[in-house]
Amino acid sequence: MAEQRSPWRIAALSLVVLATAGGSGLREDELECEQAAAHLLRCCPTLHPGALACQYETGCGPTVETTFSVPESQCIQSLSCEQIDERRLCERVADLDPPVVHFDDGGTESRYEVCP
Amino acid sequence: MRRAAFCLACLLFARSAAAEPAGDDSELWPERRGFSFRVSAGPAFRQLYSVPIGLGELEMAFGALTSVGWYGRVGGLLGATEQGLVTRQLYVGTWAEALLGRWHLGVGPQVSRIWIWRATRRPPSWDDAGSFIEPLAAWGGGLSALSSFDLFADEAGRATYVALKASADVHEPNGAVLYGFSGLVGARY
Repeated sequence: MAEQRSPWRIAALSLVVLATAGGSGLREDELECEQAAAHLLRCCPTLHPGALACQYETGCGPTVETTFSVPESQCIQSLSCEQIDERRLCERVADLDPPVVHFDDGGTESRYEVCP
Repeated sequence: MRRAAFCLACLLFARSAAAEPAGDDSELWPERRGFSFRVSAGPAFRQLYSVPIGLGELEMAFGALTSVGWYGRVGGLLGATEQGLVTRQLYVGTWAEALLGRWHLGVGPQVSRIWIWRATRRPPSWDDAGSFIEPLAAWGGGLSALSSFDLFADEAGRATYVALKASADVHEPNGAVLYGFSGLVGARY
């Protein structure tokens, strides 16, 4: 006969599941990158939201950083839509790959900064 | 936005200071005992890193008034960052309050959960690979302080009040601090 689980044990397990479910924490680079993305999406009607990657990903493989660093994100947010248009940022960010840090050799695939 | 929130706080304090008492303080603000319930709502301002967030807050509290006030509370905030990222926070906590006639001064801890939806993925959505992209989310814990002032009260112990609340939460796993204040209007029994 299976051991009956106590309500306290079930409650504790539920709390653990709730506490660990979802969310990657509040990283500053992710938040600022999403802020910059929101600003760009307002100024660039043809830009697809999925074209920008603002999730920091780490695990067994290479580490994928956010497309925009914190200073770059803040720089983008400080630009008006006219300035974004003048700099042709809508086109430049449309197929921008996020920086990748490789585990095996520690090398970084960086890219040019779009701002400043 | 910060200036507007500050002006609101000043306005709330000015209103409460200028309010005429509904009667003799000793009759309308006696040392009431027993069960107490209250609900309050109002605008709130929070900051996370360098990002300001404007929100609306709703809080309910149940408790007892003895020589001090003891409340359990639950509440939530809904709003957006300055770039329009939808932000939501839910919390549960407690208040311990000093009852100083029409003034109540409280302090208490809370546990909270915050969600900030991404601009790069409309909520809720699936990315190209079919996996769910979650919002920025984290558990937090912190402290709040409350200063409230009764504008009106009746002999049954019901009161309408204004309050200024300051709050700070530290979030796991990276220690992000969300802090700010709220200007609340509430009713208490």
